[in-house]
Amino acid sequence: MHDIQTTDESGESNVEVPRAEQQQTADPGSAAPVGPTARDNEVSVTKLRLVGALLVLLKLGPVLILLVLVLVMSSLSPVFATSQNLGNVLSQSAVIAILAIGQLLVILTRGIDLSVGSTLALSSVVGATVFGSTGGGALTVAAMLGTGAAVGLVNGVVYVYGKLPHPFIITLATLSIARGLALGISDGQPIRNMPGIVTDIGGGSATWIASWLPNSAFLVALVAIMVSVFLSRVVWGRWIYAVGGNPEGARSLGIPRSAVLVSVYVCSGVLAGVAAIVTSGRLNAGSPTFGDLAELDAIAAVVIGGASFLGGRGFVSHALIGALMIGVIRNGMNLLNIEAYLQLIVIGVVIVLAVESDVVRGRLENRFRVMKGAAA
Amino acid sequence: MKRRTQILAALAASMTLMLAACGSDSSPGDKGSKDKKGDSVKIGFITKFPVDFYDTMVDAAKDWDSKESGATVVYAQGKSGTDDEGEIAAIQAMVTQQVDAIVITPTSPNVQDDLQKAVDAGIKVILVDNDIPDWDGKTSVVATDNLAGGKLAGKWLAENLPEGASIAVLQGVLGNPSLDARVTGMLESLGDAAKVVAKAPTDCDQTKGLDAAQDILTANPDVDAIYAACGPPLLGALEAIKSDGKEGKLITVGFDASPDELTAIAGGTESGSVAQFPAKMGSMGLQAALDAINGDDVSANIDTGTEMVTKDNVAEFQ
Repeated sequence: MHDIQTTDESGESNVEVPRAEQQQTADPGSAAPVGPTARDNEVSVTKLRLVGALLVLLKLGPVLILLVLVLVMSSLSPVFATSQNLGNVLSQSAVIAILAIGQLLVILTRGIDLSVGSTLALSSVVGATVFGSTGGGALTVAAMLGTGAAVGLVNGVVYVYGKLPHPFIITLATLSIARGLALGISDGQPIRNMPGIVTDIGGGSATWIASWLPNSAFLVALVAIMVSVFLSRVVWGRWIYAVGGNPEGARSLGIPRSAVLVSVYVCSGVLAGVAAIVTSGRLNAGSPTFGDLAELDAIAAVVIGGASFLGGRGFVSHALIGALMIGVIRNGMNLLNIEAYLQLIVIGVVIVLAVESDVVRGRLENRFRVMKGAAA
Repeated sequence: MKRRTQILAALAASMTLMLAACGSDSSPGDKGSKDKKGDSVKIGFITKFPVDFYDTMVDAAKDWDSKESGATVVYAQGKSGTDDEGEIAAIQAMVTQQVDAIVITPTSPNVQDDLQKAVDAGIKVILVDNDIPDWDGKTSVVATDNLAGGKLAGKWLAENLPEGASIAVLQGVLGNPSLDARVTGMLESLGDAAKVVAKAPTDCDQTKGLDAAQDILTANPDVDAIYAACGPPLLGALEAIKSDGKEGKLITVGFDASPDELTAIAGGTESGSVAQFPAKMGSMGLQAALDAINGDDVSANIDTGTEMVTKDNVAEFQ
């Protein structure tokens, strides 16, 4: 485990270098042209605190944006903060959240999975077809998850062993292929009826707690906890960070890069299957048109939430916050009866804000280390 | 199975078109010179994507083709209801193939420039199902009069809604003239019979219809009716109504009368839907194209009709 720790948050290991240099030049005994006086030190301590506080604020950026959104929506619409509407937001963002968690795993390795929306559609159609011909609930669920896993496996294997320059290419191909298969299998038609287990998970609510609480929220929580534990407590999970954050280091440590990469695409595929269960359950059908452009929502959620698009840094919480942000914006705008074009603009602006705040955070974090080094 | 073969056939057809577009100017089966009076009159038939509505249209077109000895029909299809690029490629392939007319269900006004190029090359263009209102190059529009269809729905709603009722509208794809007309028409003939409390766009997507309906029911728990500009979002709304415990209690009217909607109407969960006649669009579209090629007069607007489907007459449509 200890050798893995060194690669932990490896995105930050790069900044160790300037810090060491700065320490040397700032050393009063060194040949630095201007040595820091006591007054300079005081200033830098104040500055240090300021930058530190700003940093905390920026790290919380996505959470704050979400909070502001919630406050604004609550003040504008009397029904926003009701339990029934909270249930709506949870059920409407469940699919994005599940897809985003899968996407996070891929993005952590510096990859991208464009196929998840189509995989969702294919998985729903396969599920509805299996249920239609066998009537088996468990078999339907297995078929849906299996379909997702299969598409993910193709993505991972072709990307890694086909030595493709970027996963964009193969997942763009499977985006097209999976949608085509879904249309072909279903004759372009929605297929009605899903087993009880699927409609319960996707469309049911936890009446034993509160009738407004959708079951899909528990599914999201379960997936989130499992992936979190996997990422933080399992060696393989740490390897995912290492492969994305510091590919060279990962190679020199002997991490099985190929297997790790394939595994994240399989996970993303399986989670697309899980998302298909939720969508199909909500609508009691499988349809080749499900999940249209859902991959973009998932990618947006991960990035808005605060994970790094360059790999190696990000948590499940980022994906969840991003998904909720998108959910809250859409739901709030519907409640307020706001024109659709504004929704699109707002989501775009939030993406830029969130990512820009992440860039600023990275810069400040660098500066902070430098200054801390200087102050020490 | 039958339909899957059709999809494959359509795929194969579009592949052939692509190949033809890249290849030489004489395609196999072309009997030499392009004599417009002979049976070498060739008509391209382009539909949006493989769903029931367009399948019905293509079936009718094939039927017309098999009976009409004076013309040959070649087919192509896009990938989705908004696949402008796919349709543009199909149009270009048709032009390269030197068809005499193109019958097309345009995805949006974005395909207009390429259709104009076809017209400039001497090809007659018949628009089917959707109009491109500001484009003068078309010979005729063979379509459901969506405004009239919307009015039909609005009239029915006005007659069936209680006094002082409120209604929510699930719009289609914003910027699509025929989908917008379904809402405009409905509102026109609804008049003051009901108050519109919410309007939400759905892209004619079932999931988005469900989400929007959930939000609308939360913000307006007393809403009496929901009208959707297309079938899928209304089916989504029915799920939202069901999970809200109000199944069958709202008046719900859709547009399309798709098979799933007909089932819902027969089962009493949906109140009604405006039916269109895609088969007529296919055959009447091709006939208009042939007439235009032969220099006969073709009406600029050919209405294929609409009809309100409710529980009373649903059996005729199933």
